[in-house]
Amino acid sequence: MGAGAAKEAAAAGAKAGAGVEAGTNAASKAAGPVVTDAMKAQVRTVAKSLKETGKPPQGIQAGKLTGYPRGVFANSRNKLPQNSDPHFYKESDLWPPNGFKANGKPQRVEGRVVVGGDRVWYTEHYQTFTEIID
Amino acid sequence: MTTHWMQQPETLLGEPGKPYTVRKRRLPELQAYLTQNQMTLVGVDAADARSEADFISLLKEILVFPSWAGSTWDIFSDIGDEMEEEWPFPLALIVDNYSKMLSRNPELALSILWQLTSLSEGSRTEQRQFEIYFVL
Repeated sequence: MGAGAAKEAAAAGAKAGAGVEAGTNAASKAAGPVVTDAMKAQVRTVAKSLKETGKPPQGIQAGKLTGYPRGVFANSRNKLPQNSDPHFYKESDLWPPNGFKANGKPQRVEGRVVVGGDRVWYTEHYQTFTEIID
Repeated sequence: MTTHWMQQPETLLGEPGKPYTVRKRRLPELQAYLTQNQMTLVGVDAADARSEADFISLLKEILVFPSWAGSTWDIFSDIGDEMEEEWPFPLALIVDNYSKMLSRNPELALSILWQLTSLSEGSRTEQRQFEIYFVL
């Protein structure tokens, strides 16, 4: 994706999740991240795309585990329920809060969405998982 | 992507095939072999690690990780692009004093062996040579 398209996608994403702020104070980290309503809205939008298309919305990056298809979360520490399918869990960034680099790639931060079946989690780079329940 | 693929110096290793182990007294020979074969050498001292997070912190001291990367093995589900951009493949990681970790904390030692070997195998599927040597 070019920088222009990425910025347009980011603008659309920011609209979907306006006012998103990660819970990053020390107390919230100790107990798991605070997931605001605005953040939940963004998580749901990304999760919907992952469930329906297997990919995040345009403008969002899914990470890569070497040796696996892009966007697979291996659950190597069994922090989520185990599953026989090694590709069962999918993961993605949210919209990049700090925008994009000059090469059009997002400036990634720690927030991630993980989807497995009908369940959805928010995680700050896999330290803790907060399930998002409708 | 690597086109040259280094052959393992089997006479220096404990058993053919992964996981690769080397006796401490043979380590200088292994290091010389790896250097001669254009591998980038990095090393960690397993004796210093008391936990998974400790060990990943040691890796962060010698290899480039994104600032936002967490400190569990799950982070490797997500940083493949950054590894590809920043890590100096072909790469050899020497886990020194692994035998001390094995005797002190065998559960941690076996977990690290499994995770690193999986990472090495994953790299191989993408034609990037990332070899791990556990020093006994």
